[in-house]
Amino acid sequence: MLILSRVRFAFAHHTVLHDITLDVREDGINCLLGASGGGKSTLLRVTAGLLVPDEGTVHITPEDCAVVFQDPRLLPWLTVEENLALALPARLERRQRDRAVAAILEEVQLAGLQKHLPDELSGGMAQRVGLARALLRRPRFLLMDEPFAALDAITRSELQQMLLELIRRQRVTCLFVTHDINEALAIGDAIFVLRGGCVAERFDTGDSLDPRRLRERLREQLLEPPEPEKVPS
Amino acid sequence: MFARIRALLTPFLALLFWQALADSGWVSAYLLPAPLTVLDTFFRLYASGKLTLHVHSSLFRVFWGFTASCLIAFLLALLVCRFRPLEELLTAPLALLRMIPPLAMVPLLILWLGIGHATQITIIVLASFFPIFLNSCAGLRRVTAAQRELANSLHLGWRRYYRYVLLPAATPSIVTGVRLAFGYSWRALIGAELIAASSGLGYLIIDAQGMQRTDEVIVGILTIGLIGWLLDQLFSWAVVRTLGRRFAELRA
Ligand SMILES: Nc1ncnc2c1ncn2[C@@H]1O[C@H](COP(=O)(O)OP(=O)(O)OP(=O)(O)O)[C@@H](O)[C@H]1O
Ligand SMILES: [Mg+2]
Repeated sequence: MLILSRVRFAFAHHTVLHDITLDVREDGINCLLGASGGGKSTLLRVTAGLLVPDEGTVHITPEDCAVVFQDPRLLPWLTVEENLALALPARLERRQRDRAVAAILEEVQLAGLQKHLPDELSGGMAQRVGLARALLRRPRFLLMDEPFAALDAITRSELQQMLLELIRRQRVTCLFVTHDINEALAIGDAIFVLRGGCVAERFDTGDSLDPRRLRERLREQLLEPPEPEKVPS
Repeated sequence: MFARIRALLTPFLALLFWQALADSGWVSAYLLPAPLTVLDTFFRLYASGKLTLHVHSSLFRVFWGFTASCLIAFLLALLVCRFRPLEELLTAPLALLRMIPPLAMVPLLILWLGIGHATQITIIVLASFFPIFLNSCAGLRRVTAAQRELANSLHLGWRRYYRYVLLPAATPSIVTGVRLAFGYSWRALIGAELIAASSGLGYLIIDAQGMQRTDEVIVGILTIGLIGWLLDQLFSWAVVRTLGRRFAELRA
């Protein structure tokens, strides 16, 4: 499914995304791999409609997207319940709202934490609340920016499993930014490599390529220096 | 518990010293009446209803003046932060006004408003406007770029944005401003009552001075300190009670 075509984006005079066309696997997890500072977050923001591209087209509407940021971004003065409620329509009845919040907390294995404040949660719990908030919007597209990067290995693999199950159940298309090859291989249905402001390559994990070879290929792709920018004459 | 006792130790020692000094006969009772005399005077003033009357008068002014000031300063801060050009227009006049002590306005205010409540309330507004206004402005700028981005990604309408993001982000700063402003306005009020009033604690003091009742002057001074301190404590307690859980900054 085509979500971006020929997108270019620059901060002032520093072009971060040169020419991005992104054709993702629908209802699957699409991992976006790339080096630090390579423009992964920028690409995600453009997709979510938080930044407007200089050129090219975004084919999805911002209302269909939900974003999970690298940090949980819970508002520290609101309880878990109130943070989650912000993702629901403003005019929802109180009872319906409470039911939706309780259900989603159950799904992310945080049942009963409605009244807690973000300060009282561990990093992993807070990130799960962030995920729950995104899911509450019932998005068609779930955009995640290195959501588990700050977590320890065990919590991370737990959350990866949880995400896989949730996505299978909710039928959303997920764009998952990461710089961790193992993570991409563990959860990705398709893997895109972002390099030099372009999508350098796409791998589908269903392909016959054996995992060890794929890992080698990805590592090469990431380490290889980007091609020098072509200066138009 | 021990901390409480230690905190009370200094005032207690000061009282003892004061009583000893008065008993020694080195200073005349007119210049420095003994604490027990002052206590006696306090009860006498209270029994006669005079003290209650003046306290009531001062509290009435501070309540209305302070409420008005909070409203005006906060609304203006909202406007200024919403419309940048307004900020530019107001910068110079406000900077000038800030440097004028409210008491300097008393002569004009007497001319315009007489020596009743209106003058006193205006003084309170002038004294407490700036801490509230400036702190509110600073607070309203405390929403981070990340929080704004979050609000965008959730497609929050402006109502929910104000209620759940902008105002809470500003709250600790506003509370600090309000607390500071209360101290300012209480002190300025007493000052104004000394010059231009026919009731209130400031008036009580200046009236007692005219009658050469030093003991009443001291009762007035101590009452002012005590009431100011009590109200400040009450305010802090209420803040911690209502906002302390959500705002770590306000807990201390
Ligand atoms: N708000 C901004 N203003 C100007 N330049 C920016 C801004 N945000 C990012 N950049 C620049 O854009 C480039 C890409 O940044 P981006 O955050 O998209 O990288 P990233 O791939 O997400 O990196 P990381 O893995 O470290 O998160 C960087 O060179 C950065 O300096
Ligand atoms: Mg990033």
